[in-house]
Amino acid sequence: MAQFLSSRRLLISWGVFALLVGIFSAYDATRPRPTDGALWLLGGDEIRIVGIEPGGPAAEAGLEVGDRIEGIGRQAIRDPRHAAQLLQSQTVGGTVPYLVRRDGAVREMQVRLSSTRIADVRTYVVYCGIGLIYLLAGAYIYWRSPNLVAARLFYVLCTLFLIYFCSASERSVFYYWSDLFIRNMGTLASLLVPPLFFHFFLVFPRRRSLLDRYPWAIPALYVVPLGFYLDFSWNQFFGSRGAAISATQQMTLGMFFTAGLASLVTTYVGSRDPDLRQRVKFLTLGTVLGTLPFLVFNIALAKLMGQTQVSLLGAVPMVLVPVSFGYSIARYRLMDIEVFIRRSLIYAILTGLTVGAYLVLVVLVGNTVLNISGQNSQLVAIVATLLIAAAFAPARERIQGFLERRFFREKHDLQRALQDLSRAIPHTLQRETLVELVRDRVTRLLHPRDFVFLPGNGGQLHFPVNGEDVPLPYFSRMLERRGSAATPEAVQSELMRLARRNDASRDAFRDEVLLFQERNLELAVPAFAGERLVGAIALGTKRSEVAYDGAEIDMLQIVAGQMGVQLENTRLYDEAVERKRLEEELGMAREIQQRLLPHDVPSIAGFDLAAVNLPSAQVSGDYFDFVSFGDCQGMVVADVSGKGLPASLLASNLQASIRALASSSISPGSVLRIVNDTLHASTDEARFATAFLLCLHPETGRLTYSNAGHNPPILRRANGEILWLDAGATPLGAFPNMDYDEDVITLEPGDCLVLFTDGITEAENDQGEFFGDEGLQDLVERCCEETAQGLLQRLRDAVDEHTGPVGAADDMTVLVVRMLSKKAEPQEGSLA
Amino acid sequence: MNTRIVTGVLVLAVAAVAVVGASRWFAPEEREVTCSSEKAYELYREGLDQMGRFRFDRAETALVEATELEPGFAVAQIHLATVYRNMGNMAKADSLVNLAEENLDDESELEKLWVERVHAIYHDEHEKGMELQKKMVELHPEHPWVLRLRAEEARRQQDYREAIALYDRILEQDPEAIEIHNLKGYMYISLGEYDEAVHALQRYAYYAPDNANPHDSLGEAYLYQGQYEEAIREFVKALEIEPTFIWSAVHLAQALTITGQFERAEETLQEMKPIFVERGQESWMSLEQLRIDFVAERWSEMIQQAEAALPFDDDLKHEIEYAIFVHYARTAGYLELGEMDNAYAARADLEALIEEISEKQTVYGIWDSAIARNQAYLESRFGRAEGNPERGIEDLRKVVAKSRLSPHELVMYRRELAEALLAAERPDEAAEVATAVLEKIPTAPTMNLLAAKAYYRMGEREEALGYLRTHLEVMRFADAGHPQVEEATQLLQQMVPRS
Repeated sequence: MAQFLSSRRLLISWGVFALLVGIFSAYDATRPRPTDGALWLLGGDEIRIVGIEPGGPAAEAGLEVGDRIEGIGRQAIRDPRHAAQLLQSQTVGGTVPYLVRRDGAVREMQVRLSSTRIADVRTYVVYCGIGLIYLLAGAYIYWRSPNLVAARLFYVLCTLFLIYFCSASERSVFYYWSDLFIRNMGTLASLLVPPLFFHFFLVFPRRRSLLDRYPWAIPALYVVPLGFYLDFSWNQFFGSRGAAISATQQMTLGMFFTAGLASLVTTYVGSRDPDLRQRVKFLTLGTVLGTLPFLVFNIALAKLMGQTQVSLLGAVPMVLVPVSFGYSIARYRLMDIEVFIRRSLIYAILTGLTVGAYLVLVVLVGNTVLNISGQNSQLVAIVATLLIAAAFAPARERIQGFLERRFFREKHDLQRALQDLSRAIPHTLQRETLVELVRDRVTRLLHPRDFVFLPGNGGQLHFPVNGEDVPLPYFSRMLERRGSAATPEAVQSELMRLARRNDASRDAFRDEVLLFQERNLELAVPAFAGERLVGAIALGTKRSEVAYDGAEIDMLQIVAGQMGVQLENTRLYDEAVERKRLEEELGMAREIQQRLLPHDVPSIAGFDLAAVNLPSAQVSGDYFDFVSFGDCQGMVVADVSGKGLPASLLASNLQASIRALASSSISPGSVLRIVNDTLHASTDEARFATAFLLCLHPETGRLTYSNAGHNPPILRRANGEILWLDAGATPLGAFPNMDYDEDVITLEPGDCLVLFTDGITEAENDQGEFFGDEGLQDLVERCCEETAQGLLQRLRDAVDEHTGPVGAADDMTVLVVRMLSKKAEPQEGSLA
Repeated sequence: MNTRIVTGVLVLAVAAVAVVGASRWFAPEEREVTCSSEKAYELYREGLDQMGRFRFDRAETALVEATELEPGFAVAQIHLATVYRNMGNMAKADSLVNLAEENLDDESELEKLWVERVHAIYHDEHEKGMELQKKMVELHPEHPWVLRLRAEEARRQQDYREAIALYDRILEQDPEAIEIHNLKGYMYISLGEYDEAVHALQRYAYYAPDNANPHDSLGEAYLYQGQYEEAIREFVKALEIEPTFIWSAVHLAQALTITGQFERAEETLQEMKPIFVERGQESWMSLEQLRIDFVAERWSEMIQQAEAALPFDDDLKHEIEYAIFVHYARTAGYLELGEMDNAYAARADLEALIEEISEKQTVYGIWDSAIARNQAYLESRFGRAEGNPERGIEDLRKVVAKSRLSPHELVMYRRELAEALLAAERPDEAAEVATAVLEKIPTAPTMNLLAAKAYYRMGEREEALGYLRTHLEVMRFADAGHPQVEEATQLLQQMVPRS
């Protein structure tokens, strides 16, 4: 039902179909065809009478329910269809011999066939007229407010009333295909009208809260009538009692009407809102006055007690329902049907009155002219008629103008609200504030049940679900293509388009749509900045249960347009602020890092030292340091994860910790263990640092070290042997309670030790190739005879050569320690 | 349960019912024979329908047109041949059967067998015909054409119940095969189920009201059932439709005789006399005339007519029933008039005739039971006349018990049996004989009178009065002075003395 109601094409097709059914029914009801007034089962193998029209030909001939008709017009009957063909070959008024079996005996009975043409054409015309009024009212309301749920329901209700009234004639036969069709349509309509009537008054003028508690209630309403129709359909073909709505079923349907009325009346009586009471007052009165006679005369007396002569008394007042409904809706601010009232109902009444007046005038003036002129000329009559017609148009205009002034009322001023919002938006430079502003105004204006802002990023919207943004690529694409609001119809149309193209993205799109459906969002209005989709606002159904009308959607699109521009402005503003912040942060980071680095390389007898830190564009957490381990010289090379200020701050902490601990003359492994625990406790797991810490006894050349996940330094012995110093454990701060192994080596004269960070070995060329450990080893082997500074310079050159014009992407830190010959004098260390 | 599922299921169910119902309503008709032309097929069906109604002229028109539209329509040609045969045009019938056999081309196997079988029968190749029939039964036992052959065979075997079942199966497949109702009606008559016979023949009369035969058949069923007025109405209708339908005249005379309307019965026969004469079937009329006299107890007239009929030719093949009855009537007549010598002489003539018939056993064997019944009857009558009513009682009991005839046909013999029993002062047994018939035919006037007499003798006045009332009700149109009515009136006077 919901899907049906949401498809405009389906609804319009249904309306056209209902009108065609009505026209065909009217045509068929006035067509004379022979009938015997007996009702048969259509699907059996024999003709068993299941109903007799009171006073009809079969009744007069003495046929009874339960009789089997074996022959018609001296022809043996093969099946019900053959029987129908035989009857159709007869003539109205003719007497046809029937061969009838009753209680095992057969008898011939003479049946004088009557006509299927309804006897009381005048009453039938009244019925059709009522049906037509319903259709016109429903169609026009729907046309003016196609997005309103209540309008759609009312429209469908009206079309069903049309079918109901047009097929309401008591047809005496049921075996012509046209009868079969019309009776089924009429029955379906008469079964669906009561629950739809109830349904309508459950959502109008105010949606009942029980529908939220029991969402199955609406579909459940239609289960019973569908069950009745199943019973009807079964019985018309195969059942035991023929096609008819039983008394119990009639009473049940009557209860639906009563419940609908009760819902309306309780809304009226129970409402504390005087405005609502005022608006519902006339509608309630009209509906009650229209429906109660229908319940009493049509259902209780005509259907249940068989007094069909009073059915007109129940049908005529039903006109009050669409009239009172239309009148009340005209004053119901959420439905834009003033124009309808002005141009349809009032216009129709006005036209009816003026046409009546016109005809009276034509007769009077025509007679007067003829009397005066004394000529019996058609020309005189025609001229008189044209003169009156000329006077008719301005007269109607004047009356219409008066009615327009009387009836046309100012509706809610959307335009004013829009102006207020337009003034406020440009002053809002924060996105959250902007979204809140729009949320507040739109919610106050339209009362949606939900408001969701869908942020856009790179032309793609995101749906916030449990704090996470779910991307909506297909929905975004649809909005970009449409360039306007997405209504349920548009979504349905997109789904059908994708289905027609057998597009694999249909399922993905449907998944995205489900996100909206789960939150009962009915409308999505895109916000564009130029051509770029920068966000959207999605609105839930309105608390009034009426759908968003055209004017509201237009207003929302204007708001969203302004919002889009402002969103772009806030984005640019935010970007500028962020850029400035980053620049400041970068400066601070550089400053911190520079502070970390020692100003001087210590001078150690027998050793030649050199160190360098080459920062990249983004400041990182590399550093080297010389610390004092009591009687030995400590050296550190560390690399803190991350970039920028946080990395620099962590590096600063690390340096402070190592320096503090080193002063207590404990071993490198112990220092690293304590620093690891401290870092782990004070930072998150994503923050860690690699470090290499050594302690060198200058006199003995004995070197104790521990490696905390750092690139193992390379030691090239004077004899050409290569060692990678990797004793230790995981990076600092990654895991708690780690023990850091130590290793002790003794440097010999001519040995060359190079400590470095990953910026050296992971320096990439334009082919994406790393400089690598091999490159480093090769260089150290080649240049180990040079001074520490010389080696350092060669290393820098080699890395520069490797990276080419691209340059290094990461910081590079290198510390070179060369042991001189014992006879040689100590050299002044250098900082590159 | 999810209401959306329930709603969906209901919608599907509604759609299913609508589709199934509509498919039955709009299902195309199946053709029973090979025929490419729609119009030719319609004409073929029309021809069959008219054949079933005995309207051979209309059947001819339709079938000729059908075969012209589709020259290779072998089945239609066979039916047209049957029409011509019924119309007496054997030459055309033969040529059509030959043509049909030549046209066998695209026809189904059954159609070919059927055409070939008819062709064989037309050409007196009965053995071949029987073989083809057997083959048809083997291959298509449930096809309407084959069912009809099987039913005819069952009827020949006197298995009427089986024949009816087979006819019903034909009607299930083809309700428009209206002549089947006629065949069914006679099967029911043979079974003594007259109500069912009436229903079947009512159907037949409904479908073919413009034909004398259905009304005649229905009249017969009414006659057997004891609904004499309805029977007379149907016979009259049959004669109105076809004034030369002699069998209806005979049957009408019988019905009128039973209800005591002798003059009208005789008039009916007299009006039809030229036709009887023209068709060489005068003896049937004379036989009925003798029966009227017998029932009317107009002994002298009966003897006179019987004597006038003598002597018969040697070849009694077509008049044997009449010849027997003539001799019987003479004997009974003389007996009733008390002319015992003449009666003995007439009986001797009768026995001589019977002996002659017995010698021609192969020809006249079917009359054995009739002869036995009549001898038992005469034995009883002679016994009564000679003051020994016990003499023929047992013989009569035996022949009546053995007879396959209907109660209607046995009324005369049962009457004699009852009369003999009354004469033998055994009214209770007489009452039993009468009521046995009345159980089947409650309106049988003679039996009602005998039952009344018997019960009156037994002192059961109220019972007797009831039977008497029925008798007089049935005989209310009887001619003045009808002997049974006279007797009934006397009995009534005895039972209800004038105050």
